[in-house]
Amino acid sequence: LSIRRFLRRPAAVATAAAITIGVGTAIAPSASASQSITVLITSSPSASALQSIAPAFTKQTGIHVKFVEVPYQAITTKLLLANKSGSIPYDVAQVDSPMMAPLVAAGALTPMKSFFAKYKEYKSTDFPQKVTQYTEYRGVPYTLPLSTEPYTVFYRKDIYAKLGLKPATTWAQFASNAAACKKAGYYGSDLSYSSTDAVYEWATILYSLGGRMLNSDNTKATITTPVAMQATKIYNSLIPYTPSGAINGGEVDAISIFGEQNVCTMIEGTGNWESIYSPKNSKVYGKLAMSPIPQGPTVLFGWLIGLPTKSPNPTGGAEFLAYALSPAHVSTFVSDGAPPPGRTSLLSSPKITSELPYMPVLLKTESGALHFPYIPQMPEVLIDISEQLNSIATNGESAQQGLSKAQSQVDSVLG
Amino acid sequence: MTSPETAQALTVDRQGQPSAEATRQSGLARRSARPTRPIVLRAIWLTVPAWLVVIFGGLIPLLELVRMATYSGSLLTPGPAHYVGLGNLRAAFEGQGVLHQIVVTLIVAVAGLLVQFPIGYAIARVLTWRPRFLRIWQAILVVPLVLTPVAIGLVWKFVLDPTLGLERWAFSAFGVQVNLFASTPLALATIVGVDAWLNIPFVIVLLYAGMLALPQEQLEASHLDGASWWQEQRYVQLPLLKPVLLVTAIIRVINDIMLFDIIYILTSGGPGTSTETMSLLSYQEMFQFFQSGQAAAVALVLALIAIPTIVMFNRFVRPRI
Repeated sequence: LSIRRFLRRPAAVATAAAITIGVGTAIAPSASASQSITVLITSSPSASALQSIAPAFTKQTGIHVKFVEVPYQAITTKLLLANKSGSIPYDVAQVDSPMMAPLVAAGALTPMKSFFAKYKEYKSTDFPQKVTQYTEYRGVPYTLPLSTEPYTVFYRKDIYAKLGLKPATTWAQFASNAAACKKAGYYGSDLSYSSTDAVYEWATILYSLGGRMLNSDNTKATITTPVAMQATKIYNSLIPYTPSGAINGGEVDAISIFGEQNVCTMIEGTGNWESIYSPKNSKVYGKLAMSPIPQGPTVLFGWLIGLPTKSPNPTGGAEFLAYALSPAHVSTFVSDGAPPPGRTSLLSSPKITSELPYMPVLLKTESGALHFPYIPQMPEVLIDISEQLNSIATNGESAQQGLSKAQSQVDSVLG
Repeated sequence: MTSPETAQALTVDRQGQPSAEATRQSGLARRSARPTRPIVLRAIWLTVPAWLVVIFGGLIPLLELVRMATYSGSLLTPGPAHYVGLGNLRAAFEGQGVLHQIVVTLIVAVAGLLVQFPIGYAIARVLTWRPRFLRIWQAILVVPLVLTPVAIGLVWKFVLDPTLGLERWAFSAFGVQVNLFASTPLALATIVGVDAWLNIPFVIVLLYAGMLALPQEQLEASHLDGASWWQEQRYVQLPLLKPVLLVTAIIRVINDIMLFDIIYILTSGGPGTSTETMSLLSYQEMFQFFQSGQAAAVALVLALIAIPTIVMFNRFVRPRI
C-alpha cells in the first residue's frame, strides 16, 4: 500500500462510521419521538372530532398527536405505497369501508384482537353485531368503527306536510311521493347517478329488495338477476324527479343540492345529517326528518379507523384509539357534530337521543343493516358498476345492456 | 502554387481512380479535422450536467416505467413482483378496453387543436394590428395562463352545473334545461371548450411573438409587388411562420394527449366511460384500483402515442447548422 492509500483507508472508514452513526441517529426514535404519534385523516366531521379529543389525550398521557390530513382518495394510496416501501409513517389511519379489504390484503392493517384484550375500557362488546361485522375482514377485526352511518331516507317534513305525504314504506310509494313533489314544483328525489358514486344508492335499493351485488362466495357478480333489474328500474324511474346537477354529480353534489334547493327526498348515510342540518349555515334547518329505507334492510356505511402495520409507534396509536373511542369520550363526537360510532350504550342514551333527532331511525336501521362485500377488488367493482349505471341513466344505454356489461367487467375483475 | 489542372492530375490516376497521394492527403485532412483527445474530454466534461439531466430526468424514469409495465405490480399483493412481459398490457386491453380510451384521447387532442389554433391565430393576428388598449387586451388574454388547471376546472364545473351553476340561468332564459355532462358529445365538447379557454392564450402568445418577429423587408416587398391581403397571408406570412406554427401545434397536441386535470374535475370520465382518456385510465388503475403494473402499461401506451409528435417537435426545434 502506498502511504496515500494507507492514509485514505482509515479516513474512509471513519467517514463511513460517521455517516452510519448520523443516519442511525436520524432513524432511531429518540425518547421524545416515541412520545408522539401520527394520525392519517381525511376531511370529515369524524376527523375533526378526533382532533378535538387529541389535546386532552396529550395532557393525560404525554403523547403528542400529529394529524396528517389528505384527500379521501389519497388515504389508501399513501398507506399502500408506504406499506410497499417497508415502513408506514402513520400510527393510526382513518379508512373507508370499501378500502379495508385492499389494505388488509396488502398487509397494511394490524388485527385488533390484542387491542381488545389489552384495552378493556374500550368495551368492544358494546356494539350491535352488524356494526362489529362491519369492522371485520373474514371474521377478524382489523378496524374500529369511527362512525356508524347506515343509509336512510332524508325528507323535507315541511313539504311532506304541505302536500299531505307520508314517509314511504315501499319503493312504489317513494316514487309516487317524488312524482307528487315534482307536480307541486319541487324536486322529488335526489339520488346520484354519477360514474363514481351511482352504485351506492342503486345498491341500497337492491339490498332493500333482497338482492346482492356478488354471489355468496364473492366470485361472481349478480347484477343481471331479475331483482337487480327491478332495482335498476326503480332507480332509473326516479331520474325525472332528480335535479340535473345530482345526476352527473357525485354524492357530495347531491348533498349540497339537497341543502340548497327544494328537494323532497334524498337517500344518504345518517352521518350527513349534521352537515345538512347545522343551524349555523343550513337552509333546511327545522325542516328535515329521516325515515328508514323502504321495504328491506339498508346498507351500512361509516368511517373505520385502524392501526397500520410497520408503524413507528404502534403502542401510542393503540392508546390513542382506546382513549378517543372509549365510551367515556365518544360523546365528544356528538357535541362536535360528528356522527358517533354506533355503540349500543350511546345510541340508547336519552341525552344523546335528544341531541340528535335522527337517533331513533339510526337505532332502527343499524341492527339490520348489511355492508358491501369485503374483497380486495371492491374499489374496482364499485367503479365498474357506477360507470355502467351512469351510462344507463344518462347516455341512452339500455338497463339490460349496461348491467350485462357491468357483469362481465366485474366477473373479469373477480376472475 | 498548384494550378487547378495540376491539382486534378494529382488527385486522379489514369484509370480515373483517386491516386495514392490524394488518398494520403485526404486522410491527413480527416485526421487533422478530428478533435484531439483533450478537446473530446473537455466536451464530455462540459456536457455532463446535460447528460445527468437526460439520464435522471428522462431515461431512468422511462426505464422504470418499462420495468413496472412488464412486472406483476399491484399495491394489494405483498411480496416481490415477477416478470409478466406483455401481461399487464394484455390485461389492460382485455379488462378496460383501452382502445376506447385511445380513441377518446385522440379526439380530445385533435379537437383541441382544431379549436385552439384558428382562434389563437385570429386573435394573435388582430393583436398585431395594434388595436386600442392593446396592453389591457394582452393582460386579459394572458390571465388563463397563470391559473392552475385544477382551479379552472372547478370554476367551470360550478359555472356549468345544471342545478346550481350559472349555466342554469343562461339556458332557462331560453326555456330549456341542458345538462352538458349527461351526453357524450356535449361532455366531450365541454372538455374541449374548457381546455381551449385555458390554452388559447398560450397559442396567442407564441403566434403573436412569431408574427412580431417576421422580417419586415419581405412583408414590405410583397406590398410593393401588389400582393393582396390574402396573398400576403398565404404566400408570405404563413410560410415564414411555419416553424412557430408547427412547434405551437405540436406542444398543444402533446399537452392535450396528456390532458388529465380538467377531465378528472369536469366529468371524471363520464357519462359512463365516454370521456375517459388514457391519462384518466392510468390514474384510475394506480390510485383507485391500486394496479401499478397495469397503470404503467397504460402510461407506456400513452407515451408511445405521444412519441411521434415528440419526434416531430425535436425535428422542428433542432438548430440548423
